[in-house]
Amino acid sequence: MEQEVVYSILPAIIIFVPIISGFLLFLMPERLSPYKEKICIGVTGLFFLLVLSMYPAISEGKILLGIFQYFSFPLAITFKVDAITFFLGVFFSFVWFMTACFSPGYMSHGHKKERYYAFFLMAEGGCMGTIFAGDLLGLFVFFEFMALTTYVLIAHEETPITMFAGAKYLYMTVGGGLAVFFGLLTMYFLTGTVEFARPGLITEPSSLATAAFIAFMIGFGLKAGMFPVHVWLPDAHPAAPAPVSAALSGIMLKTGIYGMIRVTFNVYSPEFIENMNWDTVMLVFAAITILLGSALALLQDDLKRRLAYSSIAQIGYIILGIFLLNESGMAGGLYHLFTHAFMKGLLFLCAGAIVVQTGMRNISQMKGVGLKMPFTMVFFTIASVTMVGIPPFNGFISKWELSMASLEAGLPIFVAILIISSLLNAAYYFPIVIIAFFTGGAEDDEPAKAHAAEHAGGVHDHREDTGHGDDHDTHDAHGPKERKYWKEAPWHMVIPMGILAVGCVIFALLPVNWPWELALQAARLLFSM
Amino acid sequence: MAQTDTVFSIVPAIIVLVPLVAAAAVMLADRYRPHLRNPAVIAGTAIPFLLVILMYPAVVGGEIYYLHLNVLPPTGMEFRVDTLSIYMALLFGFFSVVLAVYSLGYFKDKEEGKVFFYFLLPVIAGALGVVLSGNIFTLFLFFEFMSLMFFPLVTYRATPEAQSAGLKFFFMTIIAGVSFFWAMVITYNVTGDLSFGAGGLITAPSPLLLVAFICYLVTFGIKAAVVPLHFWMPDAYAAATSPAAALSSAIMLKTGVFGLIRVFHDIFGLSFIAEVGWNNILLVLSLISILYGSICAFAQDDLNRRLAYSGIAQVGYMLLGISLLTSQALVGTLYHVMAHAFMKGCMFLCAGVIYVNTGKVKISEMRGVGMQMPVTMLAFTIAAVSAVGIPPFNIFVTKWHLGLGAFDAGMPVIIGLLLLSSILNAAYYFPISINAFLGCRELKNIERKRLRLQPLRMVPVMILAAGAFIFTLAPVNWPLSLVRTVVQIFF
Repeated sequence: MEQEVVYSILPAIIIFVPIISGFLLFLMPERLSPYKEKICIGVTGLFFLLVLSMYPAISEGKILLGIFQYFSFPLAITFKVDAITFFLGVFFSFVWFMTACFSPGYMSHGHKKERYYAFFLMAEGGCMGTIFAGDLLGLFVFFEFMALTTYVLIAHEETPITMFAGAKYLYMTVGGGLAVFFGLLTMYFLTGTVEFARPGLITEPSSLATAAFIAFMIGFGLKAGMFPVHVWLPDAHPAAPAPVSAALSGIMLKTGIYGMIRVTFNVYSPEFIENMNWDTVMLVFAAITILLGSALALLQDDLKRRLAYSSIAQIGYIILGIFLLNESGMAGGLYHLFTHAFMKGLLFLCAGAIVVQTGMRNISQMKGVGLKMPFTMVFFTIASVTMVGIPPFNGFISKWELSMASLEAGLPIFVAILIISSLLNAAYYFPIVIIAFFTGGAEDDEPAKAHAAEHAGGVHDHREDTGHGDDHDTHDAHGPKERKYWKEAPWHMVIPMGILAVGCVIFALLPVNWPWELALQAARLLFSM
Repeated sequence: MAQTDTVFSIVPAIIVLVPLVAAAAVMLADRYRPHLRNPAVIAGTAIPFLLVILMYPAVVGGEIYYLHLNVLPPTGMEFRVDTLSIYMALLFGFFSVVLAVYSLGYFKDKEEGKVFFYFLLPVIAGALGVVLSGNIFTLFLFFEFMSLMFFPLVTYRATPEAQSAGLKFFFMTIIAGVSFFWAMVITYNVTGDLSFGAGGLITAPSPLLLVAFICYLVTFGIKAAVVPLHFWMPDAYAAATSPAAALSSAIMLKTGVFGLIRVFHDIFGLSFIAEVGWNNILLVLSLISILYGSICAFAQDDLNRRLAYSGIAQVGYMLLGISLLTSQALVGTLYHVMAHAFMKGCMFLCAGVIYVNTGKVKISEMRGVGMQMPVTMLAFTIAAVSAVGIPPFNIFVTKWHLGLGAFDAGMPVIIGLLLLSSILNAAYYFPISINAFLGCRELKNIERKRLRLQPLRMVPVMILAAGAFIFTLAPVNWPLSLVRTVVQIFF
């Protein structure tokens, strides 16, 4: 399938929209302070629309290519938008947009908001630049930019724990960046170019090629949270402010995955990797990542920490999908990228809403929180169910596809691993839902009163279902009590969560599953180039 | 050998003379016309810089400016400006202007800074003379002159530490001078010629020449602070004033590197060195320097001292690039000369600003200085990120070329060392920035108050910080393309 290449300045420009606005916000905090939320939301929204505006060209199978001359160290950088880039770009920028919408509510009592929003925008620019880059050098530049700006976001709270988590993240990520640098350098030395081209650039097996592959996998795997180099992740994610955790887990981990995809398909080639048996090694790591992440998630009581370990497991799915090295595996992996971005983003936002409204971080404290914050917890439930992979939800589709791909690759063992992991998912997500909805509130003064209130609430709901004429007196009578328990997040936090929750379901229910079509197109592109 | 035309010109000699004249003018101005002192300092550094810029187009176009003064037999003083000279002279000229402006801001008290400028300008003259010289004898004269003129700047604070550091520096200078003299004598004895530009004077190896080679290494190794000849440097930097440390780091250190390039490529010649394999001595030393400097930098709490040890590691990069004997690696070295000058110069200037404003020299005391001096610490952070080699900053380009050079030389293991050193860089620079900006919520309000910016101090800092990325973001990386033409002389 020959792709038509269209030269367009758009891919090169849009990256700099968030980066430049972030810099402006950073350099002029006093002057722009009253508009910081609006700038952040507006720019992320604009960015999403700009990415979306590329859809017509992409759907016709064109590739948008932007060459940006203004980076000359030592080579010029290109930006390229093909199907896979667009697929990731459109959904990631949407999740960024949602987390940006969520931020003002979460940060309402925070400090140094200007710095937060400035680095939030810069991190978005870096993250998107990683995906939009058309060569490995550009990818690396933005990868590092994202890594460093994210550090400031992770350490935002400036408490000792946060600082420690941030430092761990920073040094590991610098190390990962250097590993990628080594790979990049080796690639340039062996091939004289850093562009993404097919068939793969490196075709001759050599010790340098092996070393470069290992370096790439360490570098990108570190960012993605793959098994031996995941150790920064469970510290960094809980430490960051919730919208940042959502972005980190939902999106930034995926830049590591994206790097792996590019390395597998554009630097090397699937055939080459298969011949060298590197895929087997990576599959083993993927399996360990899945099982380890799921098992450790079970042990955590801190909600965000549990979510972080769960992310590790989910990343394992995607790596599995990539290194099965067949088209349906790739499509499943890509679809899971999208799914996971939505659901894990949503879960972290829910956790953030709970922290802001009730101050609770530990799952064991969250008794009855579902009654105080019904919307949040309903969204949380939707995301959990998605995570487990129950049919109408997105997670089902990706798991189905990954299982099919495993069978296709003749490795039924991975189906078993996926099932075990799903069970573990259920085992660590459903208890949260159960605690939230079906156990009494721990903070209640008197259990009887709580029970009465719950009862009244139940009746109230029931009556509202049947008809709503005479409810007002009941409502008034229980009003003060109910208000005591009603701690739902404000609307501007609920709506982004709601949209993400809808995103977890809606595509599976539509006649044409748009993301799935895009994922398929991207997978086909990768295997056909 | 791209060059063809040799043009007789007295401009190189004027460039060297102007700062000396300006130094005399500064002395006179201090005595008779105090308001003319600052203009004289600025003119003494700006005029040579402008003259270098004037020479630039012709030299890059392929001409060589040449001047022979028959004053000191047997060889006489020679000036010879090729592209390498012009590159170094441009850097030195630029940094001398920046540092002179900064020094004017650093010594607010005119009386306190009076004598500083008497010696700052001669050091600059010596450094310019080193890079513009046309034979090793002229280089020797200027090299010694520069080193001796720097001695009062080391002891400038007149504390006991400064005295002992100055003494150390002085003896190292003497050792360097003696070994340089010896090496030069051997070279003259063997070849009967000391001039540059022939692409190597020496054809046949002999034990005596090895002695000469080692003497050259000792001479320039002392100046460039290569392990095991580095020990004068941390003391000197910690005791000296910040502008002096920056001067040494951005300019003097580079004369050592420049001298080694001349020794490798103009005295011994590339093919000769490659044949006898003496470059491996320098290779091993540079690798030790990289690791030793990076590791020692960790242990330091004094900011200047940490910067000094880091400088040892950075010089290791440059010497590594020389000793690999590949063109890519030499591009890396020469680019690093520029990148390191911007990076380390910026850091020393920041350290000076911190010291002048708050009196702090220990890193552990610097918690929260980013609240008081956000611009300074932002500049420091930019330099720190640059030092780690993260794109789009300068040192990424250095590491890129050094890495390619190591591949070309068939030694990919070296890249591992470079990366290790990079991560060590991150580990000892980032905490400074992090502590300055983050983790200081418990500070009292008085410690959060912003200090006023002092333009004479801050403008140089900002210029050097901008230099860390301005070239790499431009459409054409101007120093890189210049460096590539420079390297064509030798390869």
